[in-house]
Amino acid sequence: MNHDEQALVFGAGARLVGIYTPARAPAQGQAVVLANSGIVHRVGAGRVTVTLARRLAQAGIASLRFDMSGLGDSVDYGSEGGGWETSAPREISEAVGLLRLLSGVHDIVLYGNCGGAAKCFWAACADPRVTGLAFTNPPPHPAEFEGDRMVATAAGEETTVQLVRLFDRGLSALFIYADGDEGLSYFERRLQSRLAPVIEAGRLQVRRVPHSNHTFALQPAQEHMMALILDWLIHRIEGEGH
Amino acid sequence: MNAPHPFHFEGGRLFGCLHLPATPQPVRVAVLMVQPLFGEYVQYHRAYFLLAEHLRKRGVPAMRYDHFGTGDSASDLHEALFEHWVTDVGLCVRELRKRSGASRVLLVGARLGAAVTVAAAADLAHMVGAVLWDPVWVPAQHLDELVEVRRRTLGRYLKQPDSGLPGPDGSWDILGFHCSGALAESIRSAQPRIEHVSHELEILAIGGSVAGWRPPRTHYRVAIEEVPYPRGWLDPQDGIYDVLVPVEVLNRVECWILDRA
Repeated sequence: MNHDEQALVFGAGARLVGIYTPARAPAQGQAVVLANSGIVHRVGAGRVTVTLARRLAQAGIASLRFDMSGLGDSVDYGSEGGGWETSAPREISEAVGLLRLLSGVHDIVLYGNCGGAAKCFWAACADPRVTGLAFTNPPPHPAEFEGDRMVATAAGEETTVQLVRLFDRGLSALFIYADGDEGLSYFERRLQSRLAPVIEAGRLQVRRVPHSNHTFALQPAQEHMMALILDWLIHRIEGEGH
Repeated sequence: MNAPHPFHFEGGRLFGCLHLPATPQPVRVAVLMVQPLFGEYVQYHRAYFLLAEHLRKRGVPAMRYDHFGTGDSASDLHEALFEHWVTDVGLCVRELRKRSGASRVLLVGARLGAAVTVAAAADLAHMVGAVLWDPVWVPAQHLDELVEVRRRTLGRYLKQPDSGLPGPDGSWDILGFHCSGALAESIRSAQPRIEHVSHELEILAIGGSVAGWRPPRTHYRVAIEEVPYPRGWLDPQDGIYDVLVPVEVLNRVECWILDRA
């Protein structure tokens, strides 16, 4: 019945709402911050974030799912904001700090789908406490991809360099793509060759989920995606791929 | 502005968010907001938040909650039944009255949440009115509609055609929501009837699909306001999780409630 979940208000000005799900099995030594996907509130499309949090708990992994300002149950920062590229790193960092405090775990992985992956990427660049990334359908760089057309840009190159630097920092990552997702096409054409060394070293794993769409809108696709994340996390802590 | 107060209640079974006015004051009426279900729960979530915040700022306490098996409430959807959701409304009214000090409640229900509201109303002695926002009058038709939305939506994305058929156990996969055979049957057999409510109610039926509704009896004070707005869930163009904030509907609902609070 999930009686142990804890509803929280946190962050500067007490504006963010989240749910802490403690580990329900012997702790795995890592914990996960679950970010909003796009503008969907923290339960996620098809409630997948809630289901994932509860599966993680059964595997001994605590998590914090929360709404960034202006989404779900959290209030809007309004003129204090400056866009998600500014606010997301600050707010995810607040969530990282809270999760470390609540769980007692310092190995923090960020999970995000699509736009949520972008927010987590910005946060990871800004916060050295982040040690892992689990992304589903990370999007193409907006300046470089439109439909089937891809154009290399300086902004895209800078982002690619930042991504490589994260792995240089020792971070490990899992990218999961729904088959046919445009993010997969971008990865194959733009990122794969640049990230070949970290893929070869096992620090980045890339997986596909067939018969799915961008939001994993069928149960088998959701189950497949969550199994991949759980498997990666468990093996990551065992030292395989970390 | 601080966030609303999130909390679990009923022993962790349900999750709610309370929007209380900043300055404690005696109140007569509080508002319970009954969420839609399936994809529409996601779609209407922020609109519910904004309406609750607007009411709070005008001194009216409001509470949103997630139905059992949905959102941040306990358990999984496939363990829920329509009857659970109806029963839970009474529990939520009790919780809201206790936390707000209000003696009376108004309910707001959108889509299938309106059907739950109507089904629960007969047993809610403290209820003085309801906003029915694009209500689902026939839940069985709504289920068919959801299955059709699934077929159309997945047809746009998947390489292999989706069968759109229930699983061997009678369950439906409604765009990521696992609707068990028992839940589907409980929704199909639900027949919420406003005429089953014997006490005085004020009702506002509002939205893009209420113009044809004729209230069955006359002892209610009923207002009907047709306010069209785009609804991505039923006509998916860019995505089934488009978030919906129809400002005109929210404004009219807020004014209607404030007139009665």
